[in-house]
Parts: sequence; structure tokens; C-alpha cells
Amino acid sequence: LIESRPIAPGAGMVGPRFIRFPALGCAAVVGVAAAERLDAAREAVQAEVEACDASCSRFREDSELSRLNASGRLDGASPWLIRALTVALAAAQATSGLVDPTVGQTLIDLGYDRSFERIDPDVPLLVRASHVPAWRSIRLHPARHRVTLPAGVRVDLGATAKALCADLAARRAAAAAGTGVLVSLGGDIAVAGQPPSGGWVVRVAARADADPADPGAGPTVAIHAGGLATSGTAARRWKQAGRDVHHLIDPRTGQPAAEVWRTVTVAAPSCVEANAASTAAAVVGAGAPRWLAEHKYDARLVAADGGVVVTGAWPVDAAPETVPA
Amino acid sequence: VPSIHPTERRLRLLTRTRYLTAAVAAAALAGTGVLADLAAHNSIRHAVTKTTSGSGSVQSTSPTTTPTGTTGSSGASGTTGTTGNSGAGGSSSSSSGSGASTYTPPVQSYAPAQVSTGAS
Repeated sequence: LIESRPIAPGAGMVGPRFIRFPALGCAAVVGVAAAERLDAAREAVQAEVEACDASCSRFREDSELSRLNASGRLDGASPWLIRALTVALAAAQATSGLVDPTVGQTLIDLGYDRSFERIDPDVPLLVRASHVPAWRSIRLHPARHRVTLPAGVRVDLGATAKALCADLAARRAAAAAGTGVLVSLGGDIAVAGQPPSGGWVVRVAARADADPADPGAGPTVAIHAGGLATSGTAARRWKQAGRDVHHLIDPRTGQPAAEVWRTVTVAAPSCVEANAASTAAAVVGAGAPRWLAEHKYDARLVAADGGVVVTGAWPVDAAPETVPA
Repeated sequence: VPSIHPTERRLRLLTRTRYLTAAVAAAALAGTGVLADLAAHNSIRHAVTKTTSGSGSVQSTSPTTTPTGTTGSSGASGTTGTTGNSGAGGSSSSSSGSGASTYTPPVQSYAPAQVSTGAS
């Protein structure tokens, strides 16, 4: 099942071409298998990103999600928001609540109430050891385009919306450009269409902003379809009331998840599925390898001490079994 | 014989394999209104927990599970393709016009990478 394919440096770069631009508070990368189709693919991706941002941003006052969180009710919700909420609820179901979109208030309590780069570590912030309200409290009425939230519940779609956007953008771009497309939104990667020879080569790193050309950043894998996503605590960390916190909330405690894993990377038939699984595994803690294996996911986990664990058909690292701290 | 709530029955069908995952569930449930009463149905959690730990193989038995049909964001929420896979245990295959193909596991590669996945 595990195929090792040494490829001479450069051999995989005959066709694909990439472009990078900022999107959704992170870096977007669009790759095309046929270089001349890059503009068409980029335009399609940007259109999808704009729709996602207008619907699901927690940091834009005019977004639908912000209006929903502010009033607890939204009528006339767009198809994009309805779909994003549907996916978020489905992810909650599939993970038995480990990925819960109602962590919004907890993130706000921890100071993540604005775009990440604007978090002010010096402002005294509220600390509430409260349990996250259950995802089942969200009332979604797709046919009526209506969403309602109980008082005090705030939705955050960070665990699924960006990945959903990557999936939709990749498919939309592949259709528009007529070639294979890779879309990465902050390291949430989706591919669609016919991949380049040898597949799409991805560096598996601690952070999505790692230089993909740096061999020291981590191993490389090739994917041909579906999605790839990494969750971890190496990014979006900040100080709050004198302690280090991060954005991965454990809905069971209402607190940042225990840092058992530095990163969890999952490959799956879609990016949104990969991201839901990687987030759930990062939250579940020590039992993550078992959880991933039981759910038949191909995954690579890097423990806090640098130890590497793989599940399913994920290829074993050719280089060191531990990652430098 | 205890009756099974229609929503639970549908979820049980969807989750007979491991494919009650975000994309598939979205494709199957979006626009149907079935999610509207999930919150009120307290046995769903048990049903999902029970059924998502079942069988299934990523490598060999999962035709791509991405929703079929429209890819644009402007489509109606209920247009995410066929939902008739529930009776077949989630074994739908993709008919995406964008050329989506069967999922295969990642393989080791030594080619230069142009993109990284990681925490963000």
C-alpha cells in the first residue's frame, strides 16, 4: 500500500505552476497542472474565497456570521453560510463533538476576538473555565435560510470553513481552468482534476508558512486527490493573563486543548474531512493515534517531544523518526 | 419494537460506513432540512458514535466522497448533488465535472515541494 517513489529533483516541476496571495488571514497558494491556466484558476479561487469571507469571517462586522453572532438569529442566510454551518454540524456529528463550532465565545473569552495579528496580549482579558455549549444548540433551517442560536452562544467556523473553501475552490477552479488544481488556504490543501505527473508534492511542516523548499521543514508527500490538512498548536498562540494559550479549544473542557501533539496531519477524500479529523485528533490528546486508526485515517502525528507516529497508509518518514524541538 | 426517529434512521444509513463525514453529510443533508431537528433529538449522539466506528477502508473502498454537482458558491444550498447514497451505505461515486478522482493515500515523494501543510 505504501509506495516509495524517488523522483529526481525538478522532475515533478515540469508542468505545475503556483501563485501565492493573502486570503482569509493567511496565505493562499494556487497551483495548476497546466501552467497556462493559472489565471483562470486563480480567479475562480478568489471568487470562492471572497464568498467564504463574506459569509464566515468572525472578524468582519459585515459578515453573515458576525451578524448571526451579534443577534443570535439570521434570516436570509446565504447558501454559502448554510453550507458552511451544515458542514460544521456534520463535522461535530462525525467527531462526537470534538470539533464543535460553538467554541466562539470561548475564543472570545481567551482574547481571540479579532483577527489574530491584532490580539493585544497586554489587555486584561476575561478567563472563564466554562464548558463550550453543545453544537446541538444551533438551529439551522436550510429551507427557510434561517439560523438561530441560544443566548450566549457564538459560532466559530475556523475548524471547517477554510477547508470547505479549499475544497470548493479547487473544484471550481479545476472546472474553470480545465486542468488539475491545488488550493492551499493556510495549509488546508485540496486538489481537484487531473494531477500533474507524480502528484502534488507537499511539504509536511510544523507551520503552514514554512518554506516548502526547505528540506529541514519536514518530509514531502505526494497526493493525487482529496485533501490534506494539519492542525496543531505551533501557530495562533498568544499570551492571555500571563499564560500561553492557543486556538484549539477542547469542547469537553472549554479550555485550550492539552498540547500532546505539536501537529496532526491527515489525508482524506476532502480537505474539510481531513481538517475535521486532524482537529479532532489534536483535541482528543493521547488517544489520537487510536482514534485516527479506528476511523481509518492516513495521518502523521508529531508529539510534543518530537516523536513521529503514523496511522493507516501514511508513508513512514524516510529521514529521522523524531523532529527537532 | 421501539420506533426509530426518521433523522436517526437516515443517519444510521449514512453512517453504515465511515462516510458520515463533513463533505458527505453536507451533500446528503444540505437543503433537506433534516439537520433542523438534530438538536432536539437526543439519541443522535449515540447513533453517530455507534455507527462512525464501523468499517470502511480509505484506500480501496472509497470512491471520492466529495459532494457532486455544482461547485460554485452561488448555488442554492440544496444543490450539492445526489443524496440517494443513503440506501447504499454511502457508496456513492463522484460525478464531479471537475475531474475529481478516487482518493489514494499520500506517498513519499522526493520531488521539490511548492506548498506546505502545517498549523496556521
